[in-house]
Amino acid sequence: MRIAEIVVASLFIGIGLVCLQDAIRLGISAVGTNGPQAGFIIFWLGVLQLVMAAVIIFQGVRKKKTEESFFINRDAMMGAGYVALTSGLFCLMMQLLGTYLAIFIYSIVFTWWLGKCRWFSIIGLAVILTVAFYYGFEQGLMIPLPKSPWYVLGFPV
Amino acid sequence: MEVLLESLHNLMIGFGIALTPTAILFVTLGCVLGLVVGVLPGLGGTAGVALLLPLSILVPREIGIIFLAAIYWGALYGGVITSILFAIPGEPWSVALIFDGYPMAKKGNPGLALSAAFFSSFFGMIVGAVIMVLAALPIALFALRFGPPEMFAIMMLAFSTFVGLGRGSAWKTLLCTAFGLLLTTVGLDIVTGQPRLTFGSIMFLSGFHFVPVTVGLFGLGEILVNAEERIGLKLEKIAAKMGMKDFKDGLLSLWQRKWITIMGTSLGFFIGVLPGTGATPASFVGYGLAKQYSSHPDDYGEGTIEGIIAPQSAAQSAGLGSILPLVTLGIPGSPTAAVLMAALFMYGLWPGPRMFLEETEFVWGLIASLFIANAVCLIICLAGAPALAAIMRVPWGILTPIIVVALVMGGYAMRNFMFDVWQVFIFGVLGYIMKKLKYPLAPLAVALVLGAMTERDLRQSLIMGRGSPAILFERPISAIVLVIAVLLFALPLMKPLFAKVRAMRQPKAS
Repeated sequence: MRIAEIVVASLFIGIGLVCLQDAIRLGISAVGTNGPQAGFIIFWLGVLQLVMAAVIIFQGVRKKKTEESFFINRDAMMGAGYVALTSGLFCLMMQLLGTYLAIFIYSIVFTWWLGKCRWFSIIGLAVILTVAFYYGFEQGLMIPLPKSPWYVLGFPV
Repeated sequence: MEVLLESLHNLMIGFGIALTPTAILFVTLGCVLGLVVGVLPGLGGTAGVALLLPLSILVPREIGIIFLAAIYWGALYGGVITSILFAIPGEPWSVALIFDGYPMAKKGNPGLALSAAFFSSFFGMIVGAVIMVLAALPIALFALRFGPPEMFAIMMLAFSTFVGLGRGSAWKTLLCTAFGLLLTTVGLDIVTGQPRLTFGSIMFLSGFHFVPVTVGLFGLGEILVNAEERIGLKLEKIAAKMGMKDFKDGLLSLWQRKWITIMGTSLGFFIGVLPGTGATPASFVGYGLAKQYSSHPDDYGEGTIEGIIAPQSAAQSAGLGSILPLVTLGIPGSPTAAVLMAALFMYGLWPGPRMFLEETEFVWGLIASLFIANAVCLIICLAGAPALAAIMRVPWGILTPIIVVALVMGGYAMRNFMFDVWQVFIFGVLGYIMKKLKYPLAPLAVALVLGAMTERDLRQSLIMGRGSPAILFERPISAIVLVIAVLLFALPLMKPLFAKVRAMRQPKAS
């Protein structure tokens, strides 16, 4: 848990430093031709973030090592990791293969691999979910969702 | 008296909107969706409202806001069912209900526990709505005098309450606030039009949108937290049946403990108005106070009915209280209220006193809908608790892909932008990590909504003061509010000092 604290706070330090750099480029003066310059707010927020993250790191370093870990156990880590992995893959598939193919494949993979569902549930959910989102978004709400690269060649979705 | 009569007149106008068949239909739909969201542990009220935000554009804005608010009210009710029947809080504000609700259900009284909780919610929300009707107009009229320095001071007060009154690390709260505010600065500068924090990328030019960030933090983040525990979870079988006897007993128990209900409701509303708090602390404070002043404190935790009434009436009333500063001042009192505020921006409205006074039908339609949504939620809960409880029995492996797909689509549909899909994922993972490390997400969400307004008000104030921040302390209202904000910001630093002084006094006294 201690290491995780330090790593996350370091990430915020990194973000803070990047913000400071851009703020200085934009100008940080409170008195410009149109009032404060564009980087004024970013600069002070970046400073605040840096200071807070530094305090958290300092507290993390001083903290005694405890038994408490970031994950309760290995199963918990795998549970969260697999769901995050499949969610990320779904986003990637949505970009590469379009929404509907992504929903269909993601649903099958999830229910089969992580859900351990029976074959009729796996197929049933994949079909219902894909059709429901197609009719809900594309037909009902008239919100066009990303299509597959083969859509221009006549593939329905 | 004049103000009161005007409020009542406006309320009648509001009922004219809220009682139309379309409004009643959308209130019912919102309540059902909210109840489902409240029952599901993987999806909170905040993510639920954010998810359905894009859909609310498809109806007139008066109906859209009523629909979104009804989801929130439904979610406040929904958490009750799973907390009492399965000891699984669908929402964080339902945790306090487990202490006595679950033991009572296990003892064979689930019907009474549920009906007492539902009637407590009903009473809490009705009293909250009445307070809202009475207090909203005077607050808005007072706030009309506010200029940019006063508004900036109010924003600071909102952020400071998270630091001063919030639980957990003040450093992390401040860091989350700064991070949320920084996210709102990405894109084009509101005054000069210069690209800020875009690093030459076209993707960043449009900035971070509130909906995908919130859906990720509160929705996907929660799904990942649940994924750690949900695989292989087995639910105890407690029937959710309720009969007329339970309804009667529930109402009777509420009447017999009317002072606890009144205490919980009024306390909850007050806590809800403060931006740093919301329904969750209100429910714990309500429970704690009821126990402290009880004639039989030892019964708490064993299944006493007071342990259900106090936290539930406080939580429901606090949820409603968080709407009061939103409609009158443009300050959301909770993360869900922040999402509702994002909806107001989407409708082209600028929340604050001017909106409250100029958009009578819109604002009072929302207030009037509170009464209707409350009645609808109560009826659905009393009649459909077994059906709602059955949702929990849908296997995790089926429910999770449905929610994940809905979250990603909800994030995308707001702007039809692929970058938003990745925002949902990245902020989902970040939300999970931050939750595990006990970073508070509420100030981040509120900062995301208030960021642009805070910056605008600060910059206008500095222009008025020719670059000097002294202007913030030269005007009486802003000076007083800022001093309170500074004290609240400093409160976590002063707490150890108070503890030392107390410790030094104790040996002397002994």
